[in-house]
Amino acid sequence: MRSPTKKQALFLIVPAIIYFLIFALYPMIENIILTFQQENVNTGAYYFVGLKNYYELFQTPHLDRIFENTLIYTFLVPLFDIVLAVPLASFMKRLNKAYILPLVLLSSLIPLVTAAVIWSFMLNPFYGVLYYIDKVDLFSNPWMIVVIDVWTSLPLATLIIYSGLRSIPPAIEEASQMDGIIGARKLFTIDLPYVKSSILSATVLMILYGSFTFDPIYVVKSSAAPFSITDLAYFSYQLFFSDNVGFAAVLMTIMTGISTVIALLFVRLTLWERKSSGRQFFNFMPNKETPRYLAWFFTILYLAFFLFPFMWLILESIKTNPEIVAIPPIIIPYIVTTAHYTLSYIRGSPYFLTSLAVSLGTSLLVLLIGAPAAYATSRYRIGGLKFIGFILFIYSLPTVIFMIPVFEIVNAVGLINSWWGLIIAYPVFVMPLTIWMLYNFYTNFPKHIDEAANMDGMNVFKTFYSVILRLSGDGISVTLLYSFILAWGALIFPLALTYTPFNMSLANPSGAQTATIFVGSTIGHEAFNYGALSAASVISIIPSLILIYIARRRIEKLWRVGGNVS
Amino acid sequence: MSSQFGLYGIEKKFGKFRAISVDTLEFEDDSYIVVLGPSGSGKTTLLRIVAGLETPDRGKVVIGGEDVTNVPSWKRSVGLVFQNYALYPHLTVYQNIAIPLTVEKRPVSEIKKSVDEVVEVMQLHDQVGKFPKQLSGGQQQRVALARAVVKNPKILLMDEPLSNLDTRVRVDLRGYLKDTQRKLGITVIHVTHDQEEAMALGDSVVVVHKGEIVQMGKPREVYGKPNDLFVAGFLGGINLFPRESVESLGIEGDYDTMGIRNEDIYIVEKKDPHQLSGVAGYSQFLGAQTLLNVNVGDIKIMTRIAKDRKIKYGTEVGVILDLKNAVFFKDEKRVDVKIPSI
Repeated sequence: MRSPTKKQALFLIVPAIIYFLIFALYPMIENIILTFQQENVNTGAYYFVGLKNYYELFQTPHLDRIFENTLIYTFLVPLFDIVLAVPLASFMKRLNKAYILPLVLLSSLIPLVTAAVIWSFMLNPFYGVLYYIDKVDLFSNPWMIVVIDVWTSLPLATLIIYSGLRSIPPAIEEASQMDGIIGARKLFTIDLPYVKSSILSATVLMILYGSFTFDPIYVVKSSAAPFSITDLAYFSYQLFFSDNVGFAAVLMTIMTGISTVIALLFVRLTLWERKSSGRQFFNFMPNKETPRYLAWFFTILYLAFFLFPFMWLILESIKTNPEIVAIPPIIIPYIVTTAHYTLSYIRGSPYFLTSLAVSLGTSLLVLLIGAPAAYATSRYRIGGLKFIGFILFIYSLPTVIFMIPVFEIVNAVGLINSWWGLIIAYPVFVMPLTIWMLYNFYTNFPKHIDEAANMDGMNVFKTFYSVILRLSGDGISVTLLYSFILAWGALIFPLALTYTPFNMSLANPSGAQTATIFVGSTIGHEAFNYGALSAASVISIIPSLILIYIARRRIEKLWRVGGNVS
Repeated sequence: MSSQFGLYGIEKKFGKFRAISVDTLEFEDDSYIVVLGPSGSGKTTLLRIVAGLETPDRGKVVIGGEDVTNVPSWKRSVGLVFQNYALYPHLTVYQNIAIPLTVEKRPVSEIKKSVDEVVEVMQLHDQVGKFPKQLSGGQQQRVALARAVVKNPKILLMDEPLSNLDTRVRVDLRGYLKDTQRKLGITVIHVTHDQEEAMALGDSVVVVHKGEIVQMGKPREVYGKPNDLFVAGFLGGINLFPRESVESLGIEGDYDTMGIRNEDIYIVEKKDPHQLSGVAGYSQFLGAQTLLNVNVGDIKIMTRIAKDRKIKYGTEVGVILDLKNAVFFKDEKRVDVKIPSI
């Protein structure tokens, strides 16, 4: 039997469920249907073609190359991430300085497009730092994409493992001190087995991250040889734009299938605690605390890897044009200019305005729908683990697979190339994380507060809107900012759903190309204008800096993608 | 000559807060010492200093006749049982117990022998293959104990070892702990806030209050002759009479307060001979005994009466004090006072 409060709580979650049915579940089904169809070029109507689209899979030239690249991104990125994240996380724990984590996280919170732009500056064999290392052209090399992916995803992997290490109870730490297990041996004997589930979650998440790499390819593509760096996600996007919708749908269905398998693993790892067993003792490891200077040394190396590119970008943005293209590259500019900022402000303001409005709208919408759902699930177990499992599943799907059906939906309601079109579409990739973050927040939220409110005669809605919501400032503010960042960095949806910049008229608005499009394609490609591109990239980083500053103390607790829920 | 184990001139501060300061504290070999104090008194810090988990700001820790102040925990010959056991969840019971030895790379056969021995003592043979999660609280506690003693340490430290257990298991385990200590012939330092546990287990009891040792002695001594009002109240129910209220008893001496434990006060009928008169208040039936509140003038006292005895609320009663067990205080400290024989 259902209690009346449970019935009421159901209404809190309904909007989220309806949204996901339309924008997530329907696209997955629609994709499968589309694989059997083709578009009539003249009328735009779809007609049934049987398995023709599937046959095409085997007739595509360069498909081996595309699969090879996909595999490289899928397996090398997580490999590097985990191998690099474990030492960094343990050094960070050893040093125990609160300011290191925000510095590490920065590169994962900026738009991916910007990250790719930064690295194409850095790795330019004539004008970039690469000149001083080795004058090779990496632009047609998948390794360049791997570097960008690692730079943007390593912080997340580190954060998950670091949070795991920090959650080891102090008594266990002291017990191992009493037993004489310290330093590297403690890391392998006690710490890593303890955070095994965090490491596995991080691995799965990084596999998902690498396997659907899109934005860096989009940016680097213009300087790369055809198909040299293309992967499945990017290829299916190209097919969509060359009106080969049916074939694109085949690839998207394949990707959905693959990521479903990986995602199931991820959901299992995240929601169910694993039984542990292990009897290896790493007795060969040195049983000595890592000297602090050594931990500092390596941490600083890592920080240099994370932060040097930002410095390069900033220097680039204040150089004059001749200095930007000087060979050998000039590191510290002789003449400082703000001209690039002026230019990118004049040219970029419609794009930045759109991104600002759309990100703001999206984060509010996501909060409006997501917060009650997260609360209802965590408090009243509505949908229980099934709902949260579904949320994590959506979270682990590549955004590109939603592209075609979401385009159809937005087109059907006449919102293509408008702010509102983006605002209603974005939550499909923003809201899963919002709900997950708030779910964790409300799970740790003292229960006696809503019980007291219930005793005082408030129903579930009143309790939520007039008591709980007012007390969740901490969780809401960070979640809101994080949703904003996700929306701010979006690329695939704006590419699919918009085609002109905002016309700067609120009375008769049209156009909704975003800052990511401005940075990712418009500015660098029309003309050889690295200065304005770097200035625009700097501007695109500002929201991330604000987020990190505000959330610096809380982000470790809220972003519990890898932890166990129990 | 200094003793085998001792703390000398120890002080530890956390910021401005002085957690503990000890002038001299020496332990006899093979004794069961209970450190007793309310929460925040500094008793756990004291234990952690002995364990080497805290470094004192100044002072000297001696174990086995050696100064170990700057020796790391695992080289100190101490074992520690944590309050919440702190077993490694990913290791089996056997591996948990063996880990202090495996770390030292002892030969496998030797490790097995030592572990088997301690498993025998702790009666854990059926559990060695299990993981900590599969054990009850009492069993986990025994595993923690086994891990702490497997290296044959000179001192076994226990931090509130019984506080996470049910009341009944707790009483059973008291006997078990004492037995184990005898069998292993080891010095135990046991920290608790439970005065009953302290008296039941301790060969000596060290009472800690506000970062200082206020009294140390055998349980009967500490209970019967508390050094100050805090110890008197912390170890058990005591009734305090300001001097003017007991002037009629004619006890000479330099004191301002007289204390008498609940069980040393007898309630008689009003018509029988008595020392003080009072009015019965509420009584609390506790099964084995009944506690009765009595108002003597404006002093509220509490006393024990036989469990089946009923005294109505508001009845006028006579009160008899067993003066040979009375303790006297001046400015909160105990003073010796001669009691006139009546």
